[in-house]
Amino acid sequence: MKTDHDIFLLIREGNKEAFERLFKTYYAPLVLFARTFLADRDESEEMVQGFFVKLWEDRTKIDINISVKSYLFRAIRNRCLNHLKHEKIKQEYQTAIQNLPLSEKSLEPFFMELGLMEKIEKSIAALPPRRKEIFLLSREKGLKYREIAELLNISVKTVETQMGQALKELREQLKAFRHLMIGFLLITSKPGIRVVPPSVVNTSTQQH
Amino acid sequence: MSEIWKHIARTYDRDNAPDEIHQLPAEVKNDPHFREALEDSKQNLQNIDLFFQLKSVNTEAAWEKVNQQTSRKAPQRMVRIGKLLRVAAAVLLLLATGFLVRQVLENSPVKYVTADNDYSHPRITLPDGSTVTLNHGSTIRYPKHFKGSTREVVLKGEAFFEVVTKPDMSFIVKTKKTAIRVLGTSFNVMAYDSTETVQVYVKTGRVEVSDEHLADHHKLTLLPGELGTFHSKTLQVNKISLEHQNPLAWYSNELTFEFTTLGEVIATLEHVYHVYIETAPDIDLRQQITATFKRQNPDYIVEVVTLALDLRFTKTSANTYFIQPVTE
Repeated sequence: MKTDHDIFLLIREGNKEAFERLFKTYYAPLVLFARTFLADRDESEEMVQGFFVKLWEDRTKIDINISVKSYLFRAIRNRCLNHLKHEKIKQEYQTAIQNLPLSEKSLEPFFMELGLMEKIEKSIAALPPRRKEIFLLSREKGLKYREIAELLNISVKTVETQMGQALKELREQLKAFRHLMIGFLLITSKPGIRVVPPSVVNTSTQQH
Repeated sequence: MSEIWKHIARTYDRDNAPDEIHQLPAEVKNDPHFREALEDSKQNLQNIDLFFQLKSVNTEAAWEKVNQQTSRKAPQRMVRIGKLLRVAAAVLLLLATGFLVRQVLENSPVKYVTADNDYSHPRITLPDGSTVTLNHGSTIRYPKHFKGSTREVVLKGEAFFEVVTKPDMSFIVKTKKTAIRVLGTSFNVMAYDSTETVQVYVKTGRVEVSDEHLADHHKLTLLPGELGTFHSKTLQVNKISLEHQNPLAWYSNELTFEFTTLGEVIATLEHVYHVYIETAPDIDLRQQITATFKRQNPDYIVEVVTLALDLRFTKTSANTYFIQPVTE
């Protein structure tokens, strides 16, 4: 299994497939992350796309010694801050977020390992059709149980029962996986992969 | 057992406030199985919600775009070139630079500034034959020759444009944050630095007002007799009524007041003639006046207005007036 860092070395050599893989792993999380700084989804998507184009163009110059994940999130944050500077948004807001640490923990609301993504997808797909429908209406579409009951012409009690069973099944499915995930995180967050001076990161991302 | 899960499900109804603890029987609340299942489900749902958020981003479509943009340019590579080639390249570069310098010089704007203490309004003929009449203290910049598909000028202050029709070459007036695009027409633009709105009044033809990038969503089309305003901060465009305005008075030297309040008359005179009119505190600015003035000077107009309203005025300097009640 290739680590992010290996992928980055391949990218430096001009390997487009590795670049695609990095893009597909991090694009959506970075968009969600950028969205916390910028006004809308479209703007966030453009920002992240622009960053990846620049990353590819400058690939030979970029030297990453911190974890690739930290590098990517930090680069996007810098871009967003610069963008905000251009838009003349209040100084205090900027300094407030600039000082926020970018720990593994703070990236949790945005990033998910591909393995877990796949497992969740499979687990939801494995629910019985009616249960799955109710579950998706609640979690994906954000409907209230009352609204789901009206929509499907069933009682709120039935919605509650089905949701309860869905949560129970998902717990079974994801239980084993979560232990794996914890182990995985412990391995990848070991030092040794990280090295880069932050100044390198800054100069390569603050040009706009 | 399934009762536990029903309780957990109820906790995660979108109808509930996130921190709302469900009124559960104590034996359920204190059941360690229940607490553990609740904690696991909370974790799972956080992951699942994030999963749906991530899935809502169209990564494939974005990759298409990025892939295209990164495929266009070949990766930078060191190219070895022979000495002769290098000389040739240098010569080409010199030629190109010379060409660029010429281009820049030819396109360099001619600056025109009106005299600040001058009441005459200079009329400038642009390279295409269009004319611009500048109001007091205004500046227009334009190139020696118009090239390409647009005729672009930059205005600070106020000017009246009479544009020669050229269907293949639109005429664009740029002011702070605003672009006014026309094909051939006459119109007035007021874009003083001291105000945040740009006003455009159309006399003939059709005029498009937009932000400086000519973005469609900030565009406003104006027809003859219409006055559009463009707010440079909010980029809002509006059409406003013309009842009490004389948008071309400074140019035509014709003023029309119809049941216009004294306050508005004063504001108009100040704008058109660049004078300052002060009033005594007990003057009622809401009293109305109806009058037409053609080619008159401000002294005369102030005199007529004050006479009509049974007031008097004194001239306190070359361009300031003071209006007060008639006193014995």
